[in-house]
Amino acid sequence: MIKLLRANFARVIKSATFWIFIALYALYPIMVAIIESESFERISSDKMLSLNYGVEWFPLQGILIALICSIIFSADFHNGTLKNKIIIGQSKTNIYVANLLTMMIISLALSVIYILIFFAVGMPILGKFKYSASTLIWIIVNGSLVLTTYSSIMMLIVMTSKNAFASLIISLLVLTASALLCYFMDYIVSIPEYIPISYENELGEIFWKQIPNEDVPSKAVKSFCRLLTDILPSGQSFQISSIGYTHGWIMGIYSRNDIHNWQMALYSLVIIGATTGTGMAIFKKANIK
Amino acid sequence: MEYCLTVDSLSKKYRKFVALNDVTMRVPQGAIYGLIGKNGAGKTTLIRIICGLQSPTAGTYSIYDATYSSKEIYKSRRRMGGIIESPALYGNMSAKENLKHQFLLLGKPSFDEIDKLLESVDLKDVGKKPVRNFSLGMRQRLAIAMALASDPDFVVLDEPINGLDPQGIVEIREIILKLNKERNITFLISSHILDELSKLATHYGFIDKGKILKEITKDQLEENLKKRIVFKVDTEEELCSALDETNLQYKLTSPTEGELYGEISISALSDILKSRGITLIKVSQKDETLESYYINLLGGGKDD
Repeated sequence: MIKLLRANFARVIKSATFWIFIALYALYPIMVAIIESESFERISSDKMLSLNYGVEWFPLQGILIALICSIIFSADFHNGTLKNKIIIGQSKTNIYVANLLTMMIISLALSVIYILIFFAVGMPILGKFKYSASTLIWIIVNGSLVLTTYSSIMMLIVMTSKNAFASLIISLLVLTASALLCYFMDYIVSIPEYIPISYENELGEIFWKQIPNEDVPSKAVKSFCRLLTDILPSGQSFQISSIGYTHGWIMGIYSRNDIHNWQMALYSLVIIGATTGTGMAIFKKANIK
Repeated sequence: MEYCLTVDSLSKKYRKFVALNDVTMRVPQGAIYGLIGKNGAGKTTLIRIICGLQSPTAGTYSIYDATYSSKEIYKSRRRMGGIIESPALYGNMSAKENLKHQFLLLGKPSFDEIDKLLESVDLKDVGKKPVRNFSLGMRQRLAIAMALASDPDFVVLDEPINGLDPQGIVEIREIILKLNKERNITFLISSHILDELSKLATHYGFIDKGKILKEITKDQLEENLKKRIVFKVDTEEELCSALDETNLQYKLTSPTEGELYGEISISALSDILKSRGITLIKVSQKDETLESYYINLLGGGKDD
C-alpha cells in the first residue's frame, strides 16, 4: 500500500494538471478576499471559511475533484499502466484504496491551501471569526467530510467506468443532477406554512395578516426532503457554504443552529463506506484491459 | 522438474463463448516457452489470467507453487514481470521517469539500477524525450526494461514482436536470449509468428480454440519433425515396389514424382531404384518446419 501511495504521489507531483489546480485553488481565496474588500456589505470570515467547502448551489469543489480524478487516475486505464501494478503482485483492493487515499489527501490538501491563504490574505481584510470555536470546527469537519465523500464517489465512477472522458461526463452529470435535486428539495423545505396577505379596511388602510399556505407539503414530505439534503454531499456543501453571513444580512436559509452537524457527518461516513465497498467489489471483478 | 507455472484444467467463458477450455500446461524453470496459436486461439486470455488481469471460470493455476486464489500469489507475482498486449507506459514521462515510477511501485530503495536497465535494452541515450514520441520498438524495449525492474525470475510476453521492424525483432530476440542465458529468467512468450519463435523457444505449447493441443520440448519437436526427400524419376514402372523396399512412408505427387518421409541416404535410394531399372532424375532433402508441424497438428489448416 505504501509503495502504491508513494508511486501515486510521485506521479501526481509530476503532473502539470495537479499544479494548475493548486494554482487555481490558491487564487480562489485571494480573489474572494479582494472582491469582498471592495464590497460595502462584505462577507464575514466565517462565511469565507465555509466557501472552502461549497459555493452555495454551485458544486465547485465536486467539479474540481471530478476533473482531478478523471485526468490523473483514468490515465492508468488509458495507458494500460494498471496492468503493471497487478502483474507485480498488487491486489486490486490495494490499488483501489491507494487511489482513493491519494484523491482524498489531494482534496484535503487543496482545502488546507485555501485555509492557509485565507488566514494570510482573507482574515486581515474581513476580520476575526464571529462564530464559536465549536461551530467553526464543525464547518471544517463536515466540510472535509464532504470533500472526502466527493472523492469516494468520483473514485467509484473512475474505477468502474475505466475511461477518462466517460468518467468525467458521468461525474459532472451526477454532480449536476445532485445539485438540482438538492435545490428542488430545499425549495420544498422552504415553502412556508403561513403566507402573508394584505387587505384593505373600509377606511382604505392596508393591513397584513398571515394565512395558512394551502400549497405547503406535509411534514413527512418536508422531513424527507430535508433528510435528502442532509445526506447528499451537494446538499451538505450547500448548507455548510450558506451558514456564514454577510454583515447586516443573513445569507442562505440555514442559520448555524439549523445544521444537523453530527447527522451529516454520519451520512458522509456511510456514503464513503458504501461507495468504496461498491467500487472495490466492481473493480475486483473487472477485466483489466 | 521444477515448474514456475502450472495450469490445471483452466477454463474461461464469456457467456456462451468458451475462450479457454480445460487448459493444462507446465512451464519449466529456465525455459523459453513459446505459446503458439492463431489469432483468437486463446493465447492472450490465458496470459491475462496468469497475470491476474482476469479470473478463470474454472480450474486453477499456480505460480511458484502459490495457487491463484491464495494470498501467497501476490508474493509469487513479485517474482514476475510482463508485457500484455501492448507496452504499458506513461506517455508524458521519459524512459527514466517511467522506470522510476516502476521502482517506486516495487518499493526499491534506490534508482541506481535504472541506467543499467536502460543500457540493457539499448535506451541509454534517449534523455528526457517523452515516451509518447518513442517508436514502437523503443516502447517495446522500455516495456521489457520495466518488466525486468523487479529482477524477475519469470517474464510473460504477449506478442512481443508484433508490429516491429526486422531490426527491432532481432533486438528483442537478442535481449530475451541474453536474459535467459545470463540470468536464467524463464520466459512465456505468446506469438503467432512461428519462424521467430522457433529461433527462441526451448519448449512449445500449441493452443487452438481455447485448448492446448500439445506441449513439447524443442528436442522432441526436432525429433518429430519429419525428414522429407522429394524426388523425380524417369519412369513409373515398378516405382511403388521400389519405394516399398525402402520401408519408409511415401506419397506420389505425380506418376514420376513423390516424397519419402524419413531418413535414407540418396545413394541407397538411387541403388534401390537402379536395381528396378529406374533412374533418379532429381532429388532434394527437406525438413518439416515448425509451421508445417503446427498446421498438421491443427489438421491441415482446414480450420483456417
